[in-house]
Amino acid sequence: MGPQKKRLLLSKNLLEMKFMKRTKEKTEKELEDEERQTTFANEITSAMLSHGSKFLMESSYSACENLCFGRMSFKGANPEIEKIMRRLTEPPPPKENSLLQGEKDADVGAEEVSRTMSLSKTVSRKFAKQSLKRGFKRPADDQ
Amino acid sequence: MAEKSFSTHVNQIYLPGDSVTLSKTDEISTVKIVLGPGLRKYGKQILVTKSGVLRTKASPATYWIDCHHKRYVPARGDDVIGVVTNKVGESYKVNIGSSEEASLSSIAFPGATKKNKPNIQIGDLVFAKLLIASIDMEPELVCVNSLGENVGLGVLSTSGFLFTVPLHHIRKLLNPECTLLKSLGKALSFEIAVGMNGKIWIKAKSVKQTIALARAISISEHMNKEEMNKLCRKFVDRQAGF
Repeated sequence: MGPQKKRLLLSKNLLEMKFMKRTKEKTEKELEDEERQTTFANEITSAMLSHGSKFLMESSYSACENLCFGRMSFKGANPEIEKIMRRLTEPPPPKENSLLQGEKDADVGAEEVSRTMSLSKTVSRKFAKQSLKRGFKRPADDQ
Repeated sequence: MAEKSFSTHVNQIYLPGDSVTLSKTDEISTVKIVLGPGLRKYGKQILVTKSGVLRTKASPATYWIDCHHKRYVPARGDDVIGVVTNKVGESYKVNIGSSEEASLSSIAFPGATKKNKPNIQIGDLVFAKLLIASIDMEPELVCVNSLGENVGLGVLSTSGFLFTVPLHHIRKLLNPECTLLKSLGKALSFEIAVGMNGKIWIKAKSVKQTIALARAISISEHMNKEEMNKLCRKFVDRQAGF
């Protein structure tokens, strides 16, 4: 074994926690894939490398024909199943990945925030104080 | 003429042993091609292993053989209905109609733990997903998804009715374009589980309705869309008392 890059792994205790379920599954899959690659590395022929990657085998008809989920309920015969059916047919809510999309339904717009939160007023006040100390007056204060 | 090109010979009949050559565009493109049931890669050839009609689908480019079957061959990812036949330690043996009985772990249920097991008797029906379906190994079933959530799988009520239809009929019923179950659902309140292994479980409000539904589903096997619609209308009229 040559010098291997040490991969950063999350601790086992952390992965056992409830909110880490998805990450745990991901890391487990990665490890499994890695293990598989190392065990079969010397069995892969050049033909497999050149040609085999073009094809994927799928033994299930449901994946080929995009079949629906087989458990159904109509007219409230089983409310639990109908809830699942609705979840499967309705597309998941769109992710807010852009700033602009977040802007649409925000209570306070970005422009307003920049107006109220900006430092320009604070800084100008500071300068005004300093100039007062030095004995200067603003032309507006004379009135 | 044993060699046929994919793109031009879709919807044609193939026999086991026929070889299929790729169309020029598929040959050149680097996009992955999925070979579904009935097709197998043998060296550089693609051979047909089932007798049936070649079907195709775009994105991802998929090819498979559509054929008539009554015997179920387990395939990973299929949802099937099975009959619990035995309990062996921590797991159940389930008859799913395949050559070997499948095993279903008692902790592969939503919310089940080693101490808190589901209440399943011998003879119960389960609707489960095939997790492992290998030619050399016993098939394994689960009733949860990979996150341990409830996804509609599990024990089916004993007051329903189970019957068997050929496998191609199941594929027709579950096709997104098939409206039979939806239009029957508009007329009657019922719940149904359709297993890829050819078994259908139905439960309606009364025994009479359940039998009527089962009959309607099983006679629609060789019907096309229009005939199915006609059947549905007739069925609705019959239920309304005409």
